[in-house]
Amino acid sequence: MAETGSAGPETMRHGLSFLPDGEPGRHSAVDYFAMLRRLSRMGDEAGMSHVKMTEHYLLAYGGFCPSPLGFLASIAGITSRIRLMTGCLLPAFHHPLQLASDTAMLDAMSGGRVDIGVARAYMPYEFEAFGLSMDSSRDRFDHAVAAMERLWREESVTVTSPFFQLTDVTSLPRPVQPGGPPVWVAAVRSPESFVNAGREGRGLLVTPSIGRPEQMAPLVQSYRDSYEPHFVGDHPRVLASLPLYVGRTDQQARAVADPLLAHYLRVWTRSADHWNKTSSADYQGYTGMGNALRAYSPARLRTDGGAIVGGVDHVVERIEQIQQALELDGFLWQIDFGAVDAVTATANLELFLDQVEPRLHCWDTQPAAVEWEAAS
Amino acid sequence: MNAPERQRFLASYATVLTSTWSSRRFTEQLRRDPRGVLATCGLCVPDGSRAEIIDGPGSAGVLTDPDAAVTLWERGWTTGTFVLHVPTTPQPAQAARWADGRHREPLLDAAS
Repeated sequence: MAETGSAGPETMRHGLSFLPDGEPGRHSAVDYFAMLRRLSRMGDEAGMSHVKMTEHYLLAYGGFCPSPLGFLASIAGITSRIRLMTGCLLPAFHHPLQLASDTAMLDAMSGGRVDIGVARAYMPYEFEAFGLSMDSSRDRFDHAVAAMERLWREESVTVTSPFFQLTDVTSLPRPVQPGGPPVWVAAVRSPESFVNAGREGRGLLVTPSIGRPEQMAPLVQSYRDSYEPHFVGDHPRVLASLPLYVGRTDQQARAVADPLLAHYLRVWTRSADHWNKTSSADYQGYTGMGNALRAYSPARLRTDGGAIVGGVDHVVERIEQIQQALELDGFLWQIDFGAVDAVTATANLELFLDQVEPRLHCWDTQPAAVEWEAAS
Repeated sequence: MNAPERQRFLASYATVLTSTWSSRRFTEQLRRDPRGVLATCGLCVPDGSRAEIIDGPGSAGVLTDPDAAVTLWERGWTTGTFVLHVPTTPQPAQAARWADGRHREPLLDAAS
């Protein structure tokens, strides 16, 4: 049977998280995806846990990948064990039957290696292009995800929703993983999102890029406190995505990563600028996001911990600090930021796998983990 | 190259690439004195050999295949010319200067 997405809390996992930020006319989507296939194969061969891909539209911020499922299907064909995660699908932009059937098809093609990360979407221009109101995004998200899960688990499904209608529908193919792929919810700053993810028994994806990761600890704790298991052995699970660059020394790492982080921030800010004159009841605290991002520099990003950049010792130390603060089950490392080339990204991943990741395995034998195993 | 040598090579190559895209001064110095500048980035060319920097139509393509870049560099041990493809465009934003005063070509400053 396929391995599920839920390892025990004693297992620290490291995977890859991709978010393209190449600009049309300056960067090649062909080269970008060739690089990602190479990195994914490396991750698979090294035993990394996940390869995750985002969904975005229209602008450089993620726009090279409007279809994470399409990307992951290509990765399924060249890998054998790494799990394939959307991070995130945006259910607001899809019909739930399309979501359920497409994800189940990928689950079948990959032999049950799929994890489905979902998010509400938050870029105003994407909602505008799809002709959707942001004010209904939470309801639209909740209805679509719930219907997707029912379509995986049940046959002859009937759902009446303000956003779609299903009558006696059985989605095909049926998922390989019992009950469907594990579902993870991305939460950024809305406390309600953390609590709801727990109540629904879903995994939690956090991206503590802005602000110190430690500041997110109370929100992550609220997720754990509200967690309601949906099957025996189920437990809260939290993965964090962060930009990472490992260099030979701290200085060399900063010299390489800072221009890349600058590009990443510039592209992100250009998209987030659409929030400067937008407000929505469903997105408290988002207005002015572009202006807020302008306060960030590469130096501040890595100093605050929103990106991990440094030589091996520094990177190990910082990862341990964040892991301890948030009690994470794993990290998904964003190593494609800055429209980076394949040489630079490969240098980064090879150093991580060879010199950083082995030093983090000692977590598996920490007393707390041993006690947990003994008690279970 | 063995594994540690390969890691050192790729990390140094990454430094050259990103420094080129973020600093015109670095690029000019690299063209004038490739051997000397590469050494500041950790890429040492043996005595009696030369370093050649290529910025041509195929350069961006070389960057999509790190193994090819390694092979190309290794040929220097037999040909006496160590080749590195370093396209000046269209990679990351040279114009994106986040004026925090902390990122100012540290390696080049250290070497000068």
